[in-house]
Amino acid sequence: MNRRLRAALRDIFDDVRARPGRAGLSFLALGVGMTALTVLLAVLGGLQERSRQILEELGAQVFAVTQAPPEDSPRDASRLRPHHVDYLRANLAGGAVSGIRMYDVAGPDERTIRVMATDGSLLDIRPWRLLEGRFLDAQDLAQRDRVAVATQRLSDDYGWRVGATAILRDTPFRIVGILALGSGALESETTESALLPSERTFFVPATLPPYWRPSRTMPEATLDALYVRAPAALPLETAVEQVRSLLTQPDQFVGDLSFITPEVLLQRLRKLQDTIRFTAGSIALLCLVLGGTTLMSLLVANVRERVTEIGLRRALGATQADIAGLFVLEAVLLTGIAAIVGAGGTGLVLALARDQFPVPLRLDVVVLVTPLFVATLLGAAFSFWPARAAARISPAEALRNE
Amino acid sequence: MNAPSIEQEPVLAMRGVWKSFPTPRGPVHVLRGMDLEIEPGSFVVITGPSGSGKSTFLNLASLLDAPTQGVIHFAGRVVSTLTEDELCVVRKERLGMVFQKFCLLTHRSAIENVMFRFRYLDTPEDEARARSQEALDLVGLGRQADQPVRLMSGGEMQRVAIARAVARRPDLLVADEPTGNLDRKSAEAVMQTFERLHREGISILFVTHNDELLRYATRHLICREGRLEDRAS
Repeated sequence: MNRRLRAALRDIFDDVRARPGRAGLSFLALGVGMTALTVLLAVLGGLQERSRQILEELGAQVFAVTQAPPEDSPRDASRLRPHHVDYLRANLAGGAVSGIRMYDVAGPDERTIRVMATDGSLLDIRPWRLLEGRFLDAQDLAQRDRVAVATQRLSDDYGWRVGATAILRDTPFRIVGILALGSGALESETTESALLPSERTFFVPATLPPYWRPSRTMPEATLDALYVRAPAALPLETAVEQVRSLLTQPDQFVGDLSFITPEVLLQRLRKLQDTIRFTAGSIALLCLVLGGTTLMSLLVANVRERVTEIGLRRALGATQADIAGLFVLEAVLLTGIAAIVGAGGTGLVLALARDQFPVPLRLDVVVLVTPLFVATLLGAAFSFWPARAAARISPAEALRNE
Repeated sequence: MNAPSIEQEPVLAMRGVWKSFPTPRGPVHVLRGMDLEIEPGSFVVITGPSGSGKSTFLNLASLLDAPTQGVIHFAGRVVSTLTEDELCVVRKERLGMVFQKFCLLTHRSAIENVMFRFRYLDTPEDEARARSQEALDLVGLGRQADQPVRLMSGGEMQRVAIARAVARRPDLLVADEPTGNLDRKSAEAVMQTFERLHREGISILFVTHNDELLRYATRHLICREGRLEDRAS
């Protein structure tokens, strides 16, 4: 280590040792500020990451059309039906449309499995990844084969692999594919089950009778949701309006529709982000300003108490820059260590308790290094005035002060 | 230790030096056309009543302040026109200072305080330590090098301060009332240290109120109304 730097560190250590109370108070305030800043960055980063995942999982140019349940929407004549899928496909050139029906069924271990009856075009719309085998195809639908595609979770839970037979309420299904449903970002952000089948979902052809239901009679052909992928050239908002318009035509009327776009999903996240930014941001800012002013008062008091020492240093050849540098270095070091302890400690706690945290977190280099950068700036900014004052003390005056 | 840089030239010379301080009622002239030459190897003691300008003169002699008017030469070089940073270089390389209240770093040991003399010099640490130990030996505190200075007596502390001032051999050792805070016995020990340094060839400029110390001087100057008067000693 550079001899001068070592000497400066020694000077700073001596000063802190001589005034542990004030240095400790300043360190504490800065540490709390850095903790708040780290939490803020981790949470905001986490929410941003979640937003990105939501967009990724919903898919580019994709939105869902859902309808209130029948009890809320008594006009059965205006329910979503399979012919609406064909109608939209015919009128939305370059787009893709898929309809789904959903049922909750008890699995082999009595835990709930969601059965999703759909067609092969679903995978063209939702960006789910096929891990193994294939998805449902036109032949499955036409022949009403008892085939199914299971999610990875179901595959892991029950050992359902491609080619294996899965039995659901005494009815055997041949597994033809295994699907990964993504990171679960949508699941945690929306109550719209249509948007994200749970990780325990079983996809079957839409044309199958509901073997898994006690009656096993084909229900009236209604759909729970439609997925639409807008044509690439069409702005999403325009596509939504176009679908809304198509579904309100007199001969195709569907009532009580909700259009779930990425924007709708992100609104909630943005609101949460704003709330956190305001609350945690205010706390962080307050702590940092408090820490900074405490640091400044510490340095001002140090300068006052160390006037003679400053005079001695000047007598021994220290320049004004040497004196100013000493105080700035002390401040930057103090804030830097507070940042390392505050941000590092907080990062460790957040990493360990990540699962218990109510909001998503991002813990990466940026989250941990930013407080250090802020601390350095803060130290330099708040020490500027005391350091300048110290540097401007006349050595003759300072030594007379002894 | 280094030899004095220029043997023949005065180590310190002042020509027509004035120092004035502005006040709301006009400038106060503390030094009024001071002339002085200090030869290498001399032990100059300055006495004078309070307010006569001794401290102001000492600040100029220590290059801690600049004159309002006049020229100061230090070791053959005009220093009164140097910039602040240039003066810092002269101070750290060629001057030693001893203060009435020691100005020691109380959390540190004697040798660490002496090594502080090299804080703003590029001297390697080993060399700084060796020179500091040598300086402590010179002032009779070689065995107490590692003792914290806060545990030392006033006389010992002042000798540590002297060791610090001479650890890098100065062209001029300036001392401002170095015995002012000491009892008679400690003051005597400190003065014997100065006398030893003088015998070693170090030029000393010494300000005191104590006339008893004049016996150590090779030259006695009295400061009166901003001017120096030479008295035989």
